[in-house]
Amino acid sequence: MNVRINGEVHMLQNIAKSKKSKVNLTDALEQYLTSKQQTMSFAVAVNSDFISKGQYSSTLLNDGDSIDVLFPIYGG
Amino acid sequence: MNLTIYGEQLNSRLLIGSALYPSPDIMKKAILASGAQVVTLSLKRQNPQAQSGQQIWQYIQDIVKLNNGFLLPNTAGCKTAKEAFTLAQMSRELFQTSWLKLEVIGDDYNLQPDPLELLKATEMLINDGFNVLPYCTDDLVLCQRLYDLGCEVIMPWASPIGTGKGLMNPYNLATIRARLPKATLILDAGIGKPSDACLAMEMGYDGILLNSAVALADDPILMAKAFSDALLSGEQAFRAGIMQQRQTAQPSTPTLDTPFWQQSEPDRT
Repeated sequence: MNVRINGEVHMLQNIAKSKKSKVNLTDALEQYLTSKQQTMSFAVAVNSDFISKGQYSSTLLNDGDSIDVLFPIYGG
Repeated sequence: MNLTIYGEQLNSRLLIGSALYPSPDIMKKAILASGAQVVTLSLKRQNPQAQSGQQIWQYIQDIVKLNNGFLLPNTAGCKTAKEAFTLAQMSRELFQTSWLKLEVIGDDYNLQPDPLELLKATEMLINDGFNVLPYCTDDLVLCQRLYDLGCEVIMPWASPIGTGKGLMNPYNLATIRARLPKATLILDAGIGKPSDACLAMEMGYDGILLNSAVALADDPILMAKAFSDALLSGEQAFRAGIMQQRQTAQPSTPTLDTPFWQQSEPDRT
C-alpha cells in the first residue's frame, strides 16, 4: 500500500495478522520514523485532519492517504 | 509592569520569537536577557535523519523552565482556516497549551494576513476551546470583529513580517487603541528598533511581539536588553501622561525679570 508521508510516497508493509486488514497509523509511523524519532515529540494529521495520539491504532489507512508528521521547530 | 494574557500574569510586556538566531545558545541567552516570558515556536515537517529541530525544542523547553514562561505556538505558513485549525490542534496536543498565535496568510509577497480566513479560523478555534492571539493587519474593523468573536488579545502588525520598517501607519494603530480600550493589544511584526517598540508603548499598546529585530542584530543579547528597556520606558511614559504638542514655542524658563534684555534689543531704526 502506498501512502504519502510528509510529501513523499512510501510503501507500507501490512504487518497485521490478516492480510485483508488495513495498516493502521501506529504501524505506519513505526515504519516511517527512526527509533529515536519515535521517542520524540510529534503530532500527526491524516488527509489534513488532526489525529490525536489516542486514535493512532484505530486509524486505518487507505491507499493514497496523505500523512503529515510534524515536529517542534523555532518560529516567530 | 504586568501584562495579563488570558488570565496569566506576566512580568514582561515583551513576547519573543525563537527563529533566525545565529545559534541555539545565543537564542537562549538573548531570550533570557529580554525578560520575555512568552516564546513563540512552530511545527514543521522533519526529515527522519534531521536532529536540529529536536535540539531547538530542548533549548526552548529550558528557556520557559528558567523564566517561568509560556509557549505560544504559531500557525505560520497556513493559508486557509482549515489548515490553521488542523495545525492548531496538533500544536495543542504537542505543546499542551490552548494559546495560539493565529496566522493565516493571504499574500506571499508581503505575508499579509487574509482577513476573511482569519475570522473564519478564529471562530472555529474559539469554538474548540482555544485562546486565540490573532496576527492581523492594522484594520480597525477587522480588529473589532476579532474582539467581538471573543479574542481578548489582538495583534495588529506594525509593518510586514521581517521588514523592520517599524510603525507603518501610526494613525491606524492609534485609532485601534482608541476604539478598543478594553482589548489587550500587542503590536506584532515589523518592529525594527527599540524606538519603534517604545513608540507603540507610548501610544498605549499593551505589549510587543518581535523576533527578527533581536535575532538579526549584530549582538542579539545586547539588543534584547535594549528592547526590554525600551518597552519599560514607553510604558512608563504612557502611564505618566505625555504632554500635548503645541503649535508655537513656549519658553520654559520664566521671562519675567530677565536681565539685560532691554539692552540687547536690536536698534531697528
